[in-house]
Amino acid sequence: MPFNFTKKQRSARPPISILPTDILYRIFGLSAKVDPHADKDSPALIALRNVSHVCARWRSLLLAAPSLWSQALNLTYMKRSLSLEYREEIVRRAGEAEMAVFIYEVGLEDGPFVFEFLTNHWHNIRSLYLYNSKYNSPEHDQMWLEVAQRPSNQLRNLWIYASSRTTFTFLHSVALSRFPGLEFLDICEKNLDMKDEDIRVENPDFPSASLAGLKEIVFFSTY
Amino acid sequence: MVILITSDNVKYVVEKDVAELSVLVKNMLEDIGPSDEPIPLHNVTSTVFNKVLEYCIYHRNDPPPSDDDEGCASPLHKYLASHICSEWDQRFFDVDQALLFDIILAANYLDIKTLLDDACKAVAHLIQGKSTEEIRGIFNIVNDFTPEEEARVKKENVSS
Repeated sequence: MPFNFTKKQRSARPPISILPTDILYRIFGLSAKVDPHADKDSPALIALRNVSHVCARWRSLLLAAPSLWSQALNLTYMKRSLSLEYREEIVRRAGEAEMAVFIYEVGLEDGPFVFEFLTNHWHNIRSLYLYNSKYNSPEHDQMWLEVAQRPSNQLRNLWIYASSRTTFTFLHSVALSRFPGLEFLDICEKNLDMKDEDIRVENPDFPSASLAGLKEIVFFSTY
Repeated sequence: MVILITSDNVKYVVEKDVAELSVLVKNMLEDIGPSDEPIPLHNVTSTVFNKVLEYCIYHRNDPPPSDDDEGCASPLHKYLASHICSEWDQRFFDVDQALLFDIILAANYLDIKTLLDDACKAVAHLIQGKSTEEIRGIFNIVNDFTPEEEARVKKENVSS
């Protein structure tokens, strides 16, 4: 990469301005990498927003990078902390890029946004991280079951810490090859005092194993 | 041994396995075949190359980087990989910003993926957890938004 700045120009600019666009994108991406176990408290979306507010050049770069926004979609944070207008703007910025979606403790007021998002963007979600340790309302419980049963060719990474019923339904879908492209599966079942019949297999008609891409399974990991 | 000459005409005699951590140099060596001809590094000064060489010598026995690090890993793996773990690397990148960015450009030009990745992580580390104002201060960047852009930016800071 040739250096295009003269000494005088270079001294007048901040040193970081010598970096080309592709390198800046790499740095922005690294600075906003999501730690799925910590994003609840320190969302990567905040880092992206802060970087996009630094200067006009950085903002134009960030706004033209759907894959940066699409990898940091913490729905709980978006619903609880962002204005409706900015929430919609972030979804627009993510565009059709493959999504990594993070959901933590869905309260009653979060439900409509979370489930509508999952419905509208399910086909684009590559990574789904659900941490939902609290009791679901019957209505939410049914919504999670519907989500867990929805097939996806796109889903690669699935991390579930939820009620037995939700967890089992996701596992059932895995066994039925509803997520044929799955590569990483991390399951931590939250025991909610359910009886065996609540999680009984209704239709144990599993196809032959077809999860050729599965690289890693983690059960009952603790965080 | 391989002879490399930096843009300020400083000559280095470097062991072949170290020099070949640079894909650019490796390809040039393959193109010219057995030869004692020095290889010019037009875009790298000796000041910067000293650091590049120090990194390459320290990391000469590391396993080669995987091509699919970014493409296939889960977000957790990507997150863990986005941090510099080695104390040596942390000390190595503890330099003034101008030199750090020159190292990045040199790594990019010489095509040394691990050095480029690690240097970018070092810069990203300066950004992580910082407010917009703090980032501007760290990198000496001036807020150059127009009043209209500034107004849009402020709206994005409003909570629901």
